[in-house]
Amino acid sequence: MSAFIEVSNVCKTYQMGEVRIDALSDINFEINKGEICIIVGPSGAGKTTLLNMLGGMDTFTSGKIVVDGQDISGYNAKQLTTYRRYDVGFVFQFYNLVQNLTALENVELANQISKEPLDAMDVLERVGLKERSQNFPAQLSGGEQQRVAIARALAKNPKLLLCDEPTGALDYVTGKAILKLLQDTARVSGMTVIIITHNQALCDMADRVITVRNGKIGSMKLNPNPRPVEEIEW
Amino acid sequence: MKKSRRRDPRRLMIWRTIRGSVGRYVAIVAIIALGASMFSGLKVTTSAMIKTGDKYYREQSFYDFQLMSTLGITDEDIEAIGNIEGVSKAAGSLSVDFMFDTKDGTASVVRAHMLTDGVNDIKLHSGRMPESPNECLADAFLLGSDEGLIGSEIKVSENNKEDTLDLLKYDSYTIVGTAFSPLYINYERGTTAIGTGSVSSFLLIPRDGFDTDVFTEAYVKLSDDSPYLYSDEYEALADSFEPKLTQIMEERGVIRYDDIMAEANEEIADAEKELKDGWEEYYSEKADAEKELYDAKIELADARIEIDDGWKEYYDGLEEFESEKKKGENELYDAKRELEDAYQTLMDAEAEYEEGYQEYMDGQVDYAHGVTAYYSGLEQYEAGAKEFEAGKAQFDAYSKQLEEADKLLKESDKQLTQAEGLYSALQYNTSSWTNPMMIYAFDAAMDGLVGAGDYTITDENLGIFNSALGAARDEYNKGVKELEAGKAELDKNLETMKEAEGEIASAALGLEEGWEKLEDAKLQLADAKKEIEDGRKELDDGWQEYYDGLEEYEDGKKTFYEEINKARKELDDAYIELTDAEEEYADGLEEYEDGLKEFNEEIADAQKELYDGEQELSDAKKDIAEIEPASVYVLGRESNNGYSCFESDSQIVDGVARVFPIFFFLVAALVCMTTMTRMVDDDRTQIGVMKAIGYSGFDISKKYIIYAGSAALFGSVIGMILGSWLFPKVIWLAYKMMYGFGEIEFFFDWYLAVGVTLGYLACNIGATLMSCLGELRQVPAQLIRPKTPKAGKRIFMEYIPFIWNRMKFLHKVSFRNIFRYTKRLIMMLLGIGGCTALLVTGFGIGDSIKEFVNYQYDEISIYDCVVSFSEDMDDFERAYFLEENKGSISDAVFLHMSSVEIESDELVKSSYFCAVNDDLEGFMDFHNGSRKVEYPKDGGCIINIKIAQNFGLEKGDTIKVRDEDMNYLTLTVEDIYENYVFNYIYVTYDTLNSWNGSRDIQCAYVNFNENSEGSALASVTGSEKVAGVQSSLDIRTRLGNMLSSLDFIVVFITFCAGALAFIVLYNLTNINITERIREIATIKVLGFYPGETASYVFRENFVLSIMGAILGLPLGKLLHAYVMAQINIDMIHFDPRITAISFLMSAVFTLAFAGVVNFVMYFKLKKIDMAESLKSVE
Repeated sequence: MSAFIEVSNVCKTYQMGEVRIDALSDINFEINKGEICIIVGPSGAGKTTLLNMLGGMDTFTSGKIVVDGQDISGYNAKQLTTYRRYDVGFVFQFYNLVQNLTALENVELANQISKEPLDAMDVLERVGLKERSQNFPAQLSGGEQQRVAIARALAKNPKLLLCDEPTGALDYVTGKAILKLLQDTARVSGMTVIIITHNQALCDMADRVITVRNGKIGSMKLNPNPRPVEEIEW
Repeated sequence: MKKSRRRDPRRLMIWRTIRGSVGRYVAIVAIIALGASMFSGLKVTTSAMIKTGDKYYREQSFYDFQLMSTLGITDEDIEAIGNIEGVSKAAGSLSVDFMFDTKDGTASVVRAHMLTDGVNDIKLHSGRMPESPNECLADAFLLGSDEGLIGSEIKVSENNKEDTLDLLKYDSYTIVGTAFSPLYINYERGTTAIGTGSVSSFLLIPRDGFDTDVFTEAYVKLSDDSPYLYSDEYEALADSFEPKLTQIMEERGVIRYDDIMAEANEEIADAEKELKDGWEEYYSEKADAEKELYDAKIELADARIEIDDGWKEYYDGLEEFESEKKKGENELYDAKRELEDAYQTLMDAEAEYEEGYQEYMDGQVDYAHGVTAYYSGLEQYEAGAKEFEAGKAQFDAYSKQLEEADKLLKESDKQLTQAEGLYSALQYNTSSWTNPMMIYAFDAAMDGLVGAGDYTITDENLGIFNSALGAARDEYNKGVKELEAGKAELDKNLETMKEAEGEIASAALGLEEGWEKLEDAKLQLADAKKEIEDGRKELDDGWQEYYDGLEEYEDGKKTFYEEINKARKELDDAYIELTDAEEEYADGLEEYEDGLKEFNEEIADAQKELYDGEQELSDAKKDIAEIEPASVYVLGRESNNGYSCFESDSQIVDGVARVFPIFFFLVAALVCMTTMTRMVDDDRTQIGVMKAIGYSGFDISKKYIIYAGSAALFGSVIGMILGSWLFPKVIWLAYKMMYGFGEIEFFFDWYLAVGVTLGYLACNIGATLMSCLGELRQVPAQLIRPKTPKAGKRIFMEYIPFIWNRMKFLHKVSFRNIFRYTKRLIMMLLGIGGCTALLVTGFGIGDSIKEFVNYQYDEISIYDCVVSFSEDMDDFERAYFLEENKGSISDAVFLHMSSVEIESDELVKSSYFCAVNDDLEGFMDFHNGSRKVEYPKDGGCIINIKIAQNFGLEKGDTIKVRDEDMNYLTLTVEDIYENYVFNYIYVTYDTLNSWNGSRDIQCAYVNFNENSEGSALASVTGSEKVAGVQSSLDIRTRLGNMLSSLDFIVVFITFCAGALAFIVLYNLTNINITERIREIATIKVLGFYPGETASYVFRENFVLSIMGAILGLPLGKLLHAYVMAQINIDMIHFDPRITAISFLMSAVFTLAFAGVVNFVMYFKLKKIDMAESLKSVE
């Protein structure tokens, strides 16, 4: 079987005046369906750019990305939007919840545009926030907000869940809980999850770890025995 | 941040901030400039207009007071007024309205003013000043562009009142130039009591062009540095002066009255004297003329008698002549007849003679014949006597014969009688047949009868016997008869014989006598011969006599005719002479009669003239008795239409300026405040860093304050300058069409400028300071972290499950967002609502200005035209008018219409005064709102709203009106009706009759037949007695044109409102998007298509726009009502109605602006970079 995600020869170049900056150059990797993949690297290495490209939020200069058989590299803005809409779920470092909507409504917001959405309440229950469903983001803690964000991403029932430093703004315990949630979700639903982090310690929980350095893939290794999050310390 | 050696980094930072956000800085400056210019511009426009007016009025030495007296004003009065302290100039003036004949034959009314010096100075526009008294200047404002005007003549119509004609020295005036007069600064020329009722233009005539000693009015100018136009100080000065002028005018009025009375009485005395002389002269001249006529009459009578005598003589002569003539003729005739008779007698005698002669000759012959006959007769006699002897013998023989025949016959009869007896016996007794006696007898009878034979008695023989017997008998009878005849002939012969015997005897006697006769004839013939010879002689004598007589007759006839002709000639001569005399007499008579007629006429005329004189004198006495003490009027400038109109027009601008600028000021302030708040918010982190570094709050704030303050300052200055220049200039462009002023005077209101600048500075700096303080209150640590997003909260709608549960999810989101930011909500609603309100007001002003004409002529004055007649129309003339225009007009109502002044203690306003008895249904629709207004009863009136408003009148109040002759009438206001153009008071005809003023029915409201406007107008205008026709369509067009300049203001307001709406919407939407950029990026990431994203964001804007518009509509209605209440134009009542379409347009415009803004913003939304926006905050 071919890989769920195939990234081949992807380059991203910014032309700033006369200077050409290669944000990403010649990226090649594959991710299989249902894998938890961690992309790790230092700040400014191009992790987020890579993630944005995978999620259809950003374009790239050359190369090819195929996700579940669809080549998104040639997509226009509308096709990319459709791709995001039906196939991708995002989780950000700063949650990016809509402040004016309750937890439930934030999830429903995603539901509104999905083809086969999950029931918003069920998803919230899955992330353990059933009781807080009527609360506004401002009334929730960071971890809770991130759970809502994850619930929102999951509710769309995407093929791919992209998480950009999901624990970056959270404390250790909460962060751990979020990671656990992500790991469990991937294991239970068979969803492909890609997590960006600069924390090397998290690599143990992934099926596949891709290291990015200065816009290039440093290494890619498979972890045959990923550890449950609970067992990981950092 | 780089460190500069020379510059303070903070200052550098300000500069960089400005440079880094040129767009924003310029935007703030521009918005403030816009706000400031609109604010100051509109505000100063009124001031600029008034300043222009002030300058103009000052330069033209516009009067402060107009003084009038019912008895006129004399030079002494002027002098007395000029001597009052504080009066710099008093000038007498004249004005008169008169009709002049226009080129197209209609009469137009012009108001002639006297040219005054030092007050109401005119400005020559073209041509030159009048140099001779019959020259004049024309209205430059209305006619200045007419080519060929200069040099043309104004002909004073003969239809003008006598007073008017008396006042004007000439019949026509030559226009030598055109000029502007400060008395007429606009198009309005006022109304008049004559002609069409409106003055078409003014005319300026030199003093000597008028023929009067007394001025109709005086103009008073206080001092050259009188207070500012329309200012309270001016009002106060005027108010303080008025009593002084009133007092002097009243004093002068008394003097004037006395003078007039004295003069009048003197004149009356003179007139009386003159009249008396007139009567005397009349009587003496009448007596002379009568004498003359009498003489003539006598002379004529004498002549008559003479002629009549002549005639009598003539006719007598004629008669005599005729009779003489007849007599002569008769005589002649008789003579002629006599002659003829003589002639005839002669001729008869000749014939007789001839006959006698013939007879004589015949006698001679007869005599000879007689002698011969005598001898032959004698011979005959002798032969006859012989014959008689022979005849006598013959007769005797015959007589014997007859006696024998008679004997035979007697025998035969005897025999026959025996035979017949036998036969009868035999016949009846057959038995006897055998009797031999018988047989014998029979045989014998038979033998005798039949012949010899033996005859037995048989039947057969018996038959034969009988028949033979019959024949014998017949023979016998025949013989008897023959005998008888023979006897008769014998008797006859006997007679003849006796006669012949006598004849022979008489013949013998005759012969004897014949002889004697012959002897006599012989004697007679001799006598006749003698007689004939005597007759011949006698005849010849007669002829001689006849011819003598004939000659005498001819002579007499000739003489007679000669005489007759002579007499005829004499008579004819006499006739001709008499006829001539008759003719002469007739001429004389005619001459006399003409003289008499002339005399009578002259006498009547003279008498009439004298009576008229008496009447006039008594009228004059009555008039003098009626001369009332002078009523004096002291009128201020406000009675000048142009002055008042200009004030009210500047008030329109002021009315608009009272409301609108504040909106602009506020909006500009609001926009700047939000922008600055936003800017400070954006710089939150930087502020935190600065604060963390250790800068003081003031140091940090300074940058923003300078930023905001400088922008406010620049904006205000630019705006003030631009506004103060542009707005008056632009608005003046519109007003210049209506006013004959020069260019606008610019007016810079320093107080306003400082105020506006300070206001903007305060707003901007205040807002900035508030934001800064808000930020600075926090500790740096908080500041460098992103601002906590504002917490979401539930909205009231969520507690109404009925609505909330039915809403779409995304709609819920929008609604929650709408109410999330209360500040923004209010700003949006105010901004958009304000914009809608301004648009409603703008369109509404347009409606009120434009539509009132339509309301007036579609809903109130529904007649097609007003016709004014040259004089009072009686029933016949009215009927004639209707008949004359039967084809073009469908209906007409005749009414009295004049212009009156409505007076109260404070106010005088003019109005039309109409009286009619007929129903005005179909011509006027009196109503107030939807309520019908009834026509007033006697003594009452109905007035239009404008009058009611001006004088604060209500139903049941009284109103006092007067005409130009100061006849007062007090009326009860029965109702108030809607009317927009001009003022009209309607009363009944009886009410009019209770008034001293004019009562002429000299107007008519006319309705045309459908589709005949043009031809109908021409027809009506051409009708007899029609002085003027004012078509409603015409006024409509005229008013329309007049008010079109106001449209400009409407467009202007609409434009401003639109600009305002755009600014507000753009700004708020922009802020909205900027603030929610993360949220928008998030939903984009979630996979919202651009359209969905836009509707997610703009749905709020759209809902807010609709809400704002809905809020703005009633607000606009209020604002409009307020603005309209500020606008007060004389004679016109604006209806504060706004059409539905204007409301709709306002809403649509607002939403369209919102749409445009959203459309622009859509691209901004599309450009939002998700990755960038969602980047983790550093």
